[in-house]
Amino acid sequence: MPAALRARKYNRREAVAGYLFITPWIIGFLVFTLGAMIYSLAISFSHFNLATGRMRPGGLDNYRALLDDPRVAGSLRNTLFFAVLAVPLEICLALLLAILLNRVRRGAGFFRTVYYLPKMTPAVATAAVFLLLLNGNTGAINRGLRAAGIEGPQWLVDPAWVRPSIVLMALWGVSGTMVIFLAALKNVPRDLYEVAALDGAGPIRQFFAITLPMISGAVFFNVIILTIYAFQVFDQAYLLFWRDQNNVAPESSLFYAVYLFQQAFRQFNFGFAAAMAWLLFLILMVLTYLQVRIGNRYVYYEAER
Amino acid sequence: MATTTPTPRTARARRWTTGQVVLFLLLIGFTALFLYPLVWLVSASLKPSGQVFDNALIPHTWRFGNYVEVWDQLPLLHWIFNSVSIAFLAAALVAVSSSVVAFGFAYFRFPGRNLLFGLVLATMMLPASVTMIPTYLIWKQTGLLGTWVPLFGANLFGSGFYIFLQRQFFLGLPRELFEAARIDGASYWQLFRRIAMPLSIPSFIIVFLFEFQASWNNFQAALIYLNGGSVESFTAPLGIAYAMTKYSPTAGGHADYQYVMVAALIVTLPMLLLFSGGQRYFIEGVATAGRKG
Amino acid sequence: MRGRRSITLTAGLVLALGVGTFTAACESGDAGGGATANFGADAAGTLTAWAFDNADDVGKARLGYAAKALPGVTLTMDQTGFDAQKFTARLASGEVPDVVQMDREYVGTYAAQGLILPLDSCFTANQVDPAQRWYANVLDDVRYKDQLWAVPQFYQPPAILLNTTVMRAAGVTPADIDTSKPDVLLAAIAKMYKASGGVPTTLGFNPQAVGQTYLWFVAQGGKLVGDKGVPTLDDPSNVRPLELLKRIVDAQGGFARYKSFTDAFDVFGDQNQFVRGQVGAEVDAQWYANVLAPYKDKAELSAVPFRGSDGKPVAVAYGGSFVIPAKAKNPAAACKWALRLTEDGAWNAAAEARAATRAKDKSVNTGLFTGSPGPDRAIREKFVKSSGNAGFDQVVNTFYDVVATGRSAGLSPAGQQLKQELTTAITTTLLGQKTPQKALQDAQTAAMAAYTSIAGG
Repeated sequence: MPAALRARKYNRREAVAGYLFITPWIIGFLVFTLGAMIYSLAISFSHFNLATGRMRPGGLDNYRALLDDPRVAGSLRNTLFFAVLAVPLEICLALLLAILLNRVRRGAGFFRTVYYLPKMTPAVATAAVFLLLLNGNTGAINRGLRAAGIEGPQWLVDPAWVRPSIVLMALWGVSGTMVIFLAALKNVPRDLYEVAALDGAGPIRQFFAITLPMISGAVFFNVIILTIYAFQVFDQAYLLFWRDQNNVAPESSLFYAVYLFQQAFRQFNFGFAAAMAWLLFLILMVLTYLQVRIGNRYVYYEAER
Repeated sequence: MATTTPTPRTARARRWTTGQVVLFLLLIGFTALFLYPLVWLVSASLKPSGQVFDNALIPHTWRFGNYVEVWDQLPLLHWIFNSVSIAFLAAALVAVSSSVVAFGFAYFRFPGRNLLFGLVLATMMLPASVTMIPTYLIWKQTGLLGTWVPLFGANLFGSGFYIFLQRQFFLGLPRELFEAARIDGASYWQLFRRIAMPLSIPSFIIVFLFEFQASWNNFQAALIYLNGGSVESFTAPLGIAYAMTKYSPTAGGHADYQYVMVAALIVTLPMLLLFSGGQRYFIEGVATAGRKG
Repeated sequence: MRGRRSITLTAGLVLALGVGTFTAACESGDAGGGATANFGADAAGTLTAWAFDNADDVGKARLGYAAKALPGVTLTMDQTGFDAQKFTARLASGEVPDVVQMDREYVGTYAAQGLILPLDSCFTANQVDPAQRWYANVLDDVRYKDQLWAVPQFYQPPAILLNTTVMRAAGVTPADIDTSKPDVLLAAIAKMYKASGGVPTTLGFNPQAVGQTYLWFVAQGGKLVGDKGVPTLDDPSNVRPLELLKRIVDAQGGFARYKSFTDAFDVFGDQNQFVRGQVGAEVDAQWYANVLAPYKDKAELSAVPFRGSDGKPVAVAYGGSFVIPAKAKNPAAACKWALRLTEDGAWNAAAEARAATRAKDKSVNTGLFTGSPGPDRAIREKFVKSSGNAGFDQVVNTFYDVVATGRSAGLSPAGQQLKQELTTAITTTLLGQKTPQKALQDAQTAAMAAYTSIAGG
């Protein structure tokens, strides 16, 4: 179809009208995406103090500082750790829930609604609740564990458990991913299972031989989106640990986006923060590229594509 | 969507098999896990200050007064008004602008269309933190810092995911409909206004609800753009974050977390209502996002 | 090749746009520093004040006093608390208030960048001798490069509150709670500390390592700020206080459990840590005595001073202050207003208001700690009476006694960062992630980076 299109001559009036219709987006793109990115590149090569409004050229200073600042590497490591822990867990839990919902014959609608509620809950409310639920001594989570004979960790204080506590909050809101899986599962032709069952394949073999390949597109999409989100995690970490400047915040809770925000809006270093933003952009580009490369090898695309 | 029962089976399907019972119990277990924090929130909002930390699901002392006092403690009405206004503006603007742009991509043929649409999709992948700083400076240059505009201004120009979503919808409309109207002398704008828009109400609602929720929950933008103003000018999420600090003993507060809980609950409720009213739109919107993959 | 051309066109357009905004940003960047203001001018017109958030009886009385003294001034107030990000946003948006209340420890950051005005001429123009009006350590809190950058207010010294009930049960005497004798102190802690299943139920001594950071370091012989406000967190003298803190916290379940335990204290309620016997002793600022006053008969209280490594009582604490932004539109009125709020008459009005409040709720008047020696003395003599509870009277008197032992931690352009880094060093050390030396070294590196970007930029 694209080839056929290209061969055709464009209708001039129609083309002009088309451009007019998409003009809002073009303006927005030029100003808030492309313009903004070029602007931020320019800032990243300057010393720019937001509070004083002073801006002077800085060459590669900010990028050099990026390498020197142990917190850039540290926050990147924290973020990576979070992503590596959160994304697979989110995928597994979402997939499990979606499969259960797809199988159950009664109440699927009800359960789906309930599971989706956390997704609707504003991040601030989630943070306010988990701040108390995760208290190491009196929090409900550790009380529950204690009832089961397990001494729970100090979620919000112990540096090793700070990131998992944010993962826990992310898992609570996993339903968006679940719904995408559910939609994908509904599109898997049922007769495939019936044929497999006739061949004597058990549920586990069915899952790996049919379900997983058939929904690999959705898995792929979710992995990419969740990774991008994971690298930008801000709200929960900021609200739990960095909101109150008088509080002690473990270093392991300093995520990249939080540090970027601090550099820009607390310490006035717009140049440095812009350099950080570009570094993040490059990292995500590379990651997404790699994911797409790997994904293309495994993802099963439906014939209609 | 909710009623997809693919293979009509006999009465056997309606009966409880062991597998189904196990499945059902598992789902109930997850229900408890997912609901617990929300139930806990309701419970904590009804406790006196000293007991918020005690974690009893049924308060030892019921304190309905929290719901009365909170309005004096925190300018909640202002916050809710601000949040509703901003969310409404953000949602309405982006729904209309994305619809216009989506129609441009769906109906018209023009050079560079596929390339530009590829760019639309690419912007969906662009992390917001990358453009956060220059965007702030752009608003600074326009002199609109300290107003609501930075919180929804960019919505005037459409947004990647919504453009994609609405274009999908327009592509599903039969082209003959438009060709017939063209022959009757309708202008391109009339095609959009008279035919495409009325027919795309469902996708319009999806976009509106999604953006309303996104805007209502948006904390970071409010923190960047509104934190400089008075407490009354905050949005609900920013207000709750402010309350969390205000009552935190490390910041000199009196640990009256019950008010934070009441406020958090009051801010969550509209979203739960929104969801109960527009559930199928939300589910369909999310599912569409996934179908792109 | 139409497509190719449109791309080139787009790219050109974008580039032009980017460059345009970039140069616009450069032009708008005008320096705010170096400005001087005529502080001698009459106070008139509108005055916008921000962050004067203590709208309690004391704050209201002082506001009323200043309003009467400056009839030509119309005041508009934003009562939200000070917040660095918010201040930045205000400066960036150009809507700068005339006078801002902020903690003294943050003043250096703004002084070094020329974002606020030096106030020496504010004092001379209004015939105020700072050395007369404020304690020496309070002035040191706001001195940077030999100039005073803020009008200080309040100095609430810390001391150690004792829970006699807990101490007696464990056989500990007030003399054992001596921060100059670590071994004695640790023995006392061991006697009082109780835990159940690894979770603390009673702390022997809550050091408030994070809330009273400056006290611990400066009083125990450390040095946080050097010449010209340069951070000196890696000074060898800072190792000892940190090691002591670690020993104290380790003796009580370790930092993680200690922190979760203290986080759940009902600090301001009737189930507070003293009433419930959750602490034997605790470092607290003077205002906490006010919080405990209603419970003086439920918990048996007394107090001892915090002792430095030399064995002498010492108090280190910042307090509030008023600064005037360089871009303030009405600096003259701002200067006069801040001075009015901190003069004897204002404090007297405040003390009377406070006495009335206390009489009404039939509670104890523990006095005011204004940052100025004159008013402090006058208020103590006139308004602080015996509460009828010897232990509590001793608490009130202890705080008054340690005021004179005040020392300043100094003022650094790295201000907030320095505090943050020091706090991080404390946390990482107490958690056992780093040795004190390494933690302080890392903190120094980060604080120096902040210092250079602020003072050297």
